[in-house]
Amino acid sequence: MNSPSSQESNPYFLVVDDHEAILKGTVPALRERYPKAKVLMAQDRQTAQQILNQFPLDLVVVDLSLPESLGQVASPEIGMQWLELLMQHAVTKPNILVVSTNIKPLVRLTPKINIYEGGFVAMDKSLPIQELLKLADLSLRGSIYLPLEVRSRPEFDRRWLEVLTLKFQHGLSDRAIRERMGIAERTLRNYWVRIQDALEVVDDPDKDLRVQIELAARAAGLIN
Amino acid sequence: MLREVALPSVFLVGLIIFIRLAGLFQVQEWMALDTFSRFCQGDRQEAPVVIVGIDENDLRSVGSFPIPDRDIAAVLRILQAYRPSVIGLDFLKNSPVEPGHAALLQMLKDNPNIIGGEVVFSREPSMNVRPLSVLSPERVGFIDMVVDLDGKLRRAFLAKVIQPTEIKYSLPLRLAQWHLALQKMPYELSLQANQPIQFGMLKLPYFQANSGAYVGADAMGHQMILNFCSNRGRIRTLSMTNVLQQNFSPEWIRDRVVIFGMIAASVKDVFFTSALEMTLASPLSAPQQSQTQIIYGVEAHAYTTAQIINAALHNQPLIQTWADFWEYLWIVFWGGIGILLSVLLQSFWKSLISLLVASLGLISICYFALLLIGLWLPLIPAIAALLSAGLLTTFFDQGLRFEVEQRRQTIERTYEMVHNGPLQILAALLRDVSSNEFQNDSLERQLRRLNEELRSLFGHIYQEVSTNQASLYLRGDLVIDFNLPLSDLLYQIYNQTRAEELPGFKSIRTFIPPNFEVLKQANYSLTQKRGLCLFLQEALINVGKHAIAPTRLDVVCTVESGLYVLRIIDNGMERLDADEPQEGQGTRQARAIARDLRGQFRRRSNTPQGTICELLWPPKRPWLRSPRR
Repeated sequence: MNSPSSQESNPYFLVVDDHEAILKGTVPALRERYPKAKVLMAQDRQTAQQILNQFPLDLVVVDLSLPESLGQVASPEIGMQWLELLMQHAVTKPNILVVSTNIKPLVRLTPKINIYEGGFVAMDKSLPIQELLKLADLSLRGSIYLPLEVRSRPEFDRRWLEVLTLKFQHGLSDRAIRERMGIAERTLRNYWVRIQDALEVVDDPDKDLRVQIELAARAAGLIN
Repeated sequence: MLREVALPSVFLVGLIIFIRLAGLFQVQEWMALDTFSRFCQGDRQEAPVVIVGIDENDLRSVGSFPIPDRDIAAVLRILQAYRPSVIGLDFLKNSPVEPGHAALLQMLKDNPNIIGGEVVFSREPSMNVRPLSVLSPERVGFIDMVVDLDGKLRRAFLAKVIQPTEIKYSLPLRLAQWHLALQKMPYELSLQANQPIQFGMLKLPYFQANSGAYVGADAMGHQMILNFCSNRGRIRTLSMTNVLQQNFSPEWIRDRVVIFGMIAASVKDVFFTSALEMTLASPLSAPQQSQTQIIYGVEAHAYTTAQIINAALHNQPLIQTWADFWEYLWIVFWGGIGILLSVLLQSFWKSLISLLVASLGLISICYFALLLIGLWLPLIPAIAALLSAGLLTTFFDQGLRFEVEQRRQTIERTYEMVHNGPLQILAALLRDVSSNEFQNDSLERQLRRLNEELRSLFGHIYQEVSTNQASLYLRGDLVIDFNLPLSDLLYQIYNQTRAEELPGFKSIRTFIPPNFEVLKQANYSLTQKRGLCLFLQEALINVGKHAIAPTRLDVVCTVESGLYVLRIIDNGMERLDADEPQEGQGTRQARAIARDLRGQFRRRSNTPQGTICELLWPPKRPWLRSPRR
C-alpha cells in the first residue's frame, strides 16, 4: 500500500484546478511521491480535455469547480459535466481523485462510480496534503472511496456480487468471469479490490486473499 | 357550483338572442338556408310548368329587338295548338311592335287563357308598365320581385291590396290560380288584406317582417319564402326557335303552365340566388363561380308557380317558420343543452366531443325539418348558443375543478410532509421509549429535530403552493429539485433515506445499490417523478421501521418482461406493529402512483425471511401522454 502500484513505467498524472496556489502545493508533492510520473497541469476544462486527448493518463486529480476556459467563472456544474464525460468516454479510464471544497454534487454520480473501471476517490480540499497523497494511492490501486457526505453508507454493488457468485459458487477462473461479464482485466482486478475493501479484508502476507474474501462474503451472507 | 359555472353561459345565450333580435344573424341564417336548399334532394317529379324562353340565338335569328308581334303571335299560336292549361307572358308589352300587332291582338282576344305581365310597384310610378288594354284586369299579373338585403332572391311577391277595392296579383299566382281552377281547385278572390291565400285545403304561408331569420323585412302585401328545396326537378325549357320549328313532344305542353319570357343575358331581367345548384344562366357564367347564381326572372316565376301548384296538388311543403317566441325558446333550449353537457360530463375533451356531436345532431334536425316539412329552424343562433354556452361552461368548470384539485393537493402534500417527516421521528421516538432503550441526550436531540421540522413545514408548504414549484421535502433543509433526471433523483432519495437513524438500518451490513440508469431516458411528468420518489422513500423507511435486524438491503431497478421494476428487498423479520394500520398513508401513496403509471404495487414476503416491496409499470409510449394533473 505504501508504494505506487501503477504498472506504467512512466505514468502520466493530470492535476486540474483553477487556483494556482493549489497547483503549486499539489504538483510538487505528487512529483516527489511519484518520481517517475509526469505530472501535467490544467486550469480550465478545455485545457484539461486537450491533455486528456493527448496523453494516456493514469491519474486525474480534479477540482469540481472549474471554469470552461481560462478567465471565465468557475462552476461546479462544469466540473461535474467533465467528470461524467471523462468516465464515459476516456479511452484509458484513468483513476480519479476529486479534490473539492464541496463534493456533495458527486452523490448523483455514485451509481456510475460503482461500475467505473478505474479507481475513484473523493476528498475535501481542506484536508492536509498527506491525506491527498494517501488517497491518490488508493485511487491508483483501483479502490472506491467516497466520504460520508457523498455516500451515506458503504455499498456492495450488484456487479461485485456477481463476481463473488461466479467465483465461489460456480468456481470460475478470473478469465472465465471476465468473459461471462464482458469486462476488462483491469476492471475485474479493481472489482476484487473493491470487494476486499467492502468486506474489510486486510492484506496479510500469510493468508490467501481470495480465501479471506470468500470467508468474509459467506459470513456476511453474500454467498451461500 | 352549478350557478357559478353556468351563469356566464346564460348571459352569453342572452347576448346571442340580443344579437339575433338586432338582425345581425340574418345574412348567416339566409346563407344556411341557401346551403341546405342547394344540397337537399327533394323529389324529382316533373314540374307542371314549362318555360319558353327567347335566348340569344332567337334574338339573332329574328334580327331585331323588341321581337316583332308577328313572331310572338306565331309562338302563341303553335303553343295553343298543343293545349296548355295557361300561358303567361313574362315580358312587358304595351306598345305595338310591327309587323303583326293586329294578329297578336286578335290572338289575345281569342284565347282567354293567356295572361299578361305588368309592373305595378316601381318606386318611381313612371317606371310602372301597364299591360295591353285588350287584356282584362283578371288576365294580368304583376312581375315585380322582392329581394333580400344581401341582394338575393328568396321570396315570392304574390299579391297586394292597392286600393280598398283593388287587389293586384302576381303573374305566378295568376297562372297557378288558372291551372288549379282547371283541376277543380278554385280560388276565391278576396279583398281582405290579411286573408290568407287559399287553394282547397292549402293556405299559402303569410310572410311577416320577422318571419324566420328576417328582422324588419319589407313584408308589403302577401309574400312567401321560396322553397327551392322542394322542386329539384329542373323546369323544362324550350327556346323560341324550338317552338317555331315544333321541335318538342306534345305532352311537354299539354295541360301545363307555359311561361313565355326572356332568357337572354342581354336583356336585364336577372336576379341572384344561392339556393340553386344550377339555373338557366349557369352555363353562361364562369365554371368556378361561387355559390351565387344568376337566375332569370322567368325562371324565378316558373319556380314560384310550380311550388304553389305542387303544394296544392301534391302536398309539397312550402317554407314554414315558427313564431318568434318558439324560435327564441329553441335557441335557449340548445344553449341549455350546451351547459348541461359540459356540467354533466366534467371533462374537457368529453365535453368538446359531445358538443360537436350535439352540433351535428342540430344540423341534421334543421336539415331534415326543411327537407321533410319545409320548416325553417334557426340553425346559426342555436349552434352559436350550443357551442359558446357549452365551451364557456367547460372552461369555467375546468377552472373551478382546478381550484378544488389544487386545494386537495395542498392538503395531501401537507399530510405527506407531516407523514414523511415529523411523524417518522415521532414513531422512532415512541419505539425507543416503549422499549426503554433511550438515553436522555438522544431523546432531547430527537425532540429538537422534531421541533425544527414542524417549524420549517409551514415555510415549505407556503413556498411550494405559492410558487407552484416541483420539489420534494425530505428532511429539515433538504429539498429535492424535480427538474433533475429521474435516475439522479432516485439515487439521491436512496442515499439520503438510508442515512436516517432508523432501527432497521442499524443492522444492515450490505447495501446493494440500485442502478437507476434504465430510467435515464424515461420522460415523466413532475407528478409522476414525485410519486416514484415518494414510493422509494416510503419503502426504504418501512424497512428501517418495520424490519427486525435485517442484514441486507437490496434495491433493484430494472426492466423485466417489458415492465419497469423498482423493487426493495430486505431480509429482516417483519415487525408486527400497532402504531400504523396496514393500509396506511404509505400504501395509499404507493397505490396512487401505481395507478398514475398504469402499473401495479405489490408487497410480499421474501424467502427465507424479509419483505419484497415492488412497483411494476409499463414504459410510457411516446404518443400516449398521460394526463397532467
